[in-house]
Amino acid sequence: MGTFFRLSVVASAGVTSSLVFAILAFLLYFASPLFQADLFFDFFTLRWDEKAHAYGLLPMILGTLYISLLATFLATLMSFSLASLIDSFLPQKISRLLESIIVLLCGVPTVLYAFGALFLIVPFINEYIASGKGLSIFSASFVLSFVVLPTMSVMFLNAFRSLPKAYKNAGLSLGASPQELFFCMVLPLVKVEMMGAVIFGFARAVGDTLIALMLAGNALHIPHSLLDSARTLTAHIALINANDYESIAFKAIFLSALLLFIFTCSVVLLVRLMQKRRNNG
Amino acid sequence: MAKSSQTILVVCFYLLALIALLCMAIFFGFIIYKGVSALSLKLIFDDTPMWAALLLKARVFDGIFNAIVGSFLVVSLAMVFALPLGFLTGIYLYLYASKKMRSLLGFLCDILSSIPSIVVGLFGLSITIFLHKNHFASLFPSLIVSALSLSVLVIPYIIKMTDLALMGIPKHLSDIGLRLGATRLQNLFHVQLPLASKEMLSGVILAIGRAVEDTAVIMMTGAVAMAGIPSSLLQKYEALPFFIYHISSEYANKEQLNQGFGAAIVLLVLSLSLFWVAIVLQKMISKRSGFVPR
Repeated sequence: MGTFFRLSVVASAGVTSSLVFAILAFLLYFASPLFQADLFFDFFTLRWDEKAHAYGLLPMILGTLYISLLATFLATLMSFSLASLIDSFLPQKISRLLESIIVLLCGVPTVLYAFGALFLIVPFINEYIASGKGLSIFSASFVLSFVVLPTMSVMFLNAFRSLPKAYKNAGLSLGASPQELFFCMVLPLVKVEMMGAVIFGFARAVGDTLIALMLAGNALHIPHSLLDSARTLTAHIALINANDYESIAFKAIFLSALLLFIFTCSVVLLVRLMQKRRNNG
Repeated sequence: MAKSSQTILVVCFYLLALIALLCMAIFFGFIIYKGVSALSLKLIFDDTPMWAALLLKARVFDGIFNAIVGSFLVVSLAMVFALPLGFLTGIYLYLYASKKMRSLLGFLCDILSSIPSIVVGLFGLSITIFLHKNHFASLFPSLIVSALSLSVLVIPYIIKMTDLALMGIPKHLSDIGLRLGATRLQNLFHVQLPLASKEMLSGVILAIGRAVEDTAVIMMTGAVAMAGIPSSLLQKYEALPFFIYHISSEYANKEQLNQGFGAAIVLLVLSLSLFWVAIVLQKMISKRSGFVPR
């Protein structure tokens, strides 16, 4: 019994830890024909047009960057405000209520945000701001910021609360107001945790598929303004045409996935390094 | 920092928070208003009698019943694969792993949980294509492929929650069996797992919620708009989030759009109640023993 249990425990640990490598291996396997051809660097050009045999991924890379950077910026502003109000400035009853609402919002399905926005924000932009520009970088990143907001707020809150209670008491007994305490003591001490929250939010924004797929318009060109339509790497993968396994267009999908994979690994590595450096210093 | 500029910043916080809350309120008000007015038994079962549909005697053609059943099937199947693997790996981390192994597995787990779900879906699709070409010509994107891919998505959550739950047991409780002469395994099954069970359950519920709401994985691996209830693991199926996605681009008339809103409300209530149960469970744990398992 004991050895059997131990065996199955070790075996499942082996299986789960090899999943990451399995994903990497399959992406590489399907993308590998692209590495051998001398057309590899053509993938990092500005044009995707299957009829003209141009398979540049840069429009999608730029689309991803624009949408997720803007979304992270908006989400950081809002979630930082919410978290700091909850932590230091609101009366206890209200801040408790607000916190439960935000925690509950973490459980809202992403597809709902996209679906609701499609019939609320997109018509609004079409009607009042710029007609025909409803499906654009702006709508996608605006909605995406609300998708990331709850999780980011919770992470900011956890950051503020990671300080030992004794610090706060010491500050209070020296006569500092809650406001001074927050700006002069809490903020400088939790810089690394706050950076972690922002990076995490950015990674989530990059990895999200549905919002960009449904709200950004998926156009295949380099976006020039906020109201331009754009396509992200994730949406590009979702719009795959799986009927033709052998085409270069299909293989380029795996290159997009590989880019996302590398991005994810570097983010996780970066956060780990930051935590390690802080713990040592 | 000068006091006046601090005050200005705090005013900005209030403004930004107010804007955020207002947007959220308008958004959810809109969804709930539209959705609740679309809710009815007809939305779910169309014209098929309810009991005949529930007992699978009559087929529902135009309701969201098939999508609900499909979601239920694919998520339960995913949990069947994910739970044993996740639990056992969590126990390995807690009981057997050396310090180096722990940090390595933790790292891999972090990567797995942050890989975009569309990439996980593509992984499932590429395995299917590979097997289809080389070994099983009859394998296409289907219920089983979706379930396996979804389990890849939730396994890291289950591992983490299991490990955290076990680590959160206070030291004086977790070693009690060992001091009474029990083996490590007996201690695990009779002391540690029962103590950690509630938090593990809340982790499982969170994982279910994650699997129910995910759209990107299932749209790559076999969810379609019109399939009925699948009769085998190798068939395509319908799912609630995919239905919502599909309606948003393909709706032909107001009635179908209303169906979309109704489905949205059903999915919202489903995910939020799962999430809420998980939160309540976690609150109960931190109250019960006077410690916060974190």
